[in-house]
Amino acid sequence: MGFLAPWFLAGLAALGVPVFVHLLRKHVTTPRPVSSLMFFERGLQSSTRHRRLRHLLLFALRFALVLLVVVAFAEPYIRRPAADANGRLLLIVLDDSFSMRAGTRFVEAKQQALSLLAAKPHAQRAQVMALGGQLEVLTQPTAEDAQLRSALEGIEAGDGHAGFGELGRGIRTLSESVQGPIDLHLFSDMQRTQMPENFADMVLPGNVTLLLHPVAKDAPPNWTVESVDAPAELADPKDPKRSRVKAVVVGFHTPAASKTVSLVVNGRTLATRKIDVPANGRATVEFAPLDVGYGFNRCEVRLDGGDAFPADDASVFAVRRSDPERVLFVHAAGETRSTLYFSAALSAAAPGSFVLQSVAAEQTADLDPTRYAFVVLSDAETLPSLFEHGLEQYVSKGGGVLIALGTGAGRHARIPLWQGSVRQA
Amino acid sequence: MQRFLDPAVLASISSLDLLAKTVVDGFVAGLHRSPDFGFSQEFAEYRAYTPGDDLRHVDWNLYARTERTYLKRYRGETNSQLTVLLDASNSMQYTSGAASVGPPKKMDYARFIAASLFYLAIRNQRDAAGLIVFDDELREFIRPSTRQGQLARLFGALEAAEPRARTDFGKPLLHFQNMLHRRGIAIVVSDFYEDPATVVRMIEPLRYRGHEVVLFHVLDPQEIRPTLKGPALLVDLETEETIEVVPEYAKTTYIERMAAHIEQLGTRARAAGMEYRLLATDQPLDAALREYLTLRQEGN
Repeated sequence: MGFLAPWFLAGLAALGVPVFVHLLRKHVTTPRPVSSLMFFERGLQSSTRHRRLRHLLLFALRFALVLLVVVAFAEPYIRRPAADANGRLLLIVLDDSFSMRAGTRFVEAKQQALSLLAAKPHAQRAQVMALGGQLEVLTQPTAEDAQLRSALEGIEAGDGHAGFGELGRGIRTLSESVQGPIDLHLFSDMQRTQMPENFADMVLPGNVTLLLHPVAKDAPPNWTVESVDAPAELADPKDPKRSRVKAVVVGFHTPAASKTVSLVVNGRTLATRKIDVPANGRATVEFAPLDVGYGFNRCEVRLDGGDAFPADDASVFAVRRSDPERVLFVHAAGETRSTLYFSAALSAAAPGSFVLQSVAAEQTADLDPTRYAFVVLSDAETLPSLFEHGLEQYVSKGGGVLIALGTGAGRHARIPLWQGSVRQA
Repeated sequence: MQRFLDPAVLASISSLDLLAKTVVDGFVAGLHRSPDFGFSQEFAEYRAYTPGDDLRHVDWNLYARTERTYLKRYRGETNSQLTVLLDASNSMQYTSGAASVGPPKKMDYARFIAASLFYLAIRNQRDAAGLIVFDDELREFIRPSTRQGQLARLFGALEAAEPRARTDFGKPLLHFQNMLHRRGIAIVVSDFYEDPATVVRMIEPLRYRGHEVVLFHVLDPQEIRPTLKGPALLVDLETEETIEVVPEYAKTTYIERMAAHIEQLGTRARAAGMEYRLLATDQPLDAALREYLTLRQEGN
């Protein structure tokens, strides 16, 4: 037993308050002479004593109240003896995240977990979990050593990213169904990146005792491709703005080094760059132009030079090359500025490539909507009936039409293609 | 004249002689208007002569007319003997009043009674009067007498009687029985803080000797119905024992016990042929004087 905040025990001096009230401030009564106490006998004596007894009880209650408040502020705790192992659940959590692949971390962690399992009393219940991308429950609480050992041996290092927040949530859920204390043994490399954004996610229930088994004393150097900026759709490989790939290489626990970065498209190395990565720093590399064939292309930015984590030395992405799609932009006669605005917005927002064809509404009679990716009606008050009919057929077959209404729509009772007025819209 | 019998007024009179004269004169003046009382040479009855009777009392005029001898009897023709037994224990100095305000001490009230009785007996009735002052011992004894200066001696003894020690009825009454051979009126003035059975048992032998016994039970009004505003620490004047009292107790149990004590003392006294009268110290003194005269009129 001990106290987490022993300085609050100084508040025990407050115990003097009830003592002062009850002992030092005794009720003073001026003696009053009487002829005889003949008629003040047993009955009065007992009533007086009863009153004193009540005062003593009040004193005891006040004393106990002050004592409890002071002790509560001092936060007492009791260290439970380990002798009651039979009533405790031994929970073994083995980190099988990607970082555990480094060196012999996973092997060491598994070996330590197996040793712990072998050392447990035969009657004690245990449970095995794996912490990778999510907390995986491999066994139920059981005293079967063979089942537990088999579950532990079956765990292999994966590609997931372990998180202590996920562990905390899983343990909180577990404690709702498991009565009694739980000893949680976590075998992990304790990576900082496993910390959750919200610290409260890691909070464990009061009946859980966390025992850590770190297996990575020193983190190995690791270079990795942190991010890749590449177009998902590419229409013109010679477009200097879009036809390029930008990658960021970062080093963790690394000295300054010169690294070779390659751009590989469909298994063929298109370009190679040499960059200088500062110690524990970042460096950016750019490949341009991005010369890929039509259709989907499997691209990869690969970092040469071995480290303990080869799997994160490459970042894979896909680029689709296609011709730009045609968009029909129908505007009111004499109104041309809307074409400029829409074209700028389309080129800025859309990931793909489009070619905008702008025509006035009365000039659309001989146009076929099916030849366009989609059609935009920009405040078009009236349309030739032939084109409007063609649009109806186009929409009914899955084509897309964007109807944009402007000030001109208010002057007409009917919106083209919409079959209704502005009010109905 | 009634105001002269008020104890609060009498307490301001320092001389017992003057006090007794004031009380008795006022009391007697009131009595003259009453047909029930008379004394001295008033005719009472004729009684046939029997051998041994004093021949001086024979009505010779009647003998001359009838040739029969009768004795002529008068009320109060014989001098009585009054003895006051005054309790001078410590409890008698209790008073609930402050200085010169409220009722006097029980001891002073008892002195007033005794002085008035002595004055009435000696000056008005020509009776012999004596005094016994006692607590747990016999402290003063003045044999009943009608001699010159007896009243002054009695007043002096009353003045000198200061409360002390505890009350013990047994020992002084034993002396009293041995000292008083002639039958008369014995008036015991006390607060009787004793078991009623014990009091009566100790005083009862006086009745056997032919004395007419009166118990004057002197109590302060606060002793009969005490009023406490809060818890109080009470000190026994005789034993100096202390005890805490709550107002609830004084309002209920104490009053019941005191009433039962008074009732029991009165009942037992009357059953033993004694008179009993409760005198609160805020009551006038005429009740005590009236009691004495009533007894004397009955031929004692």
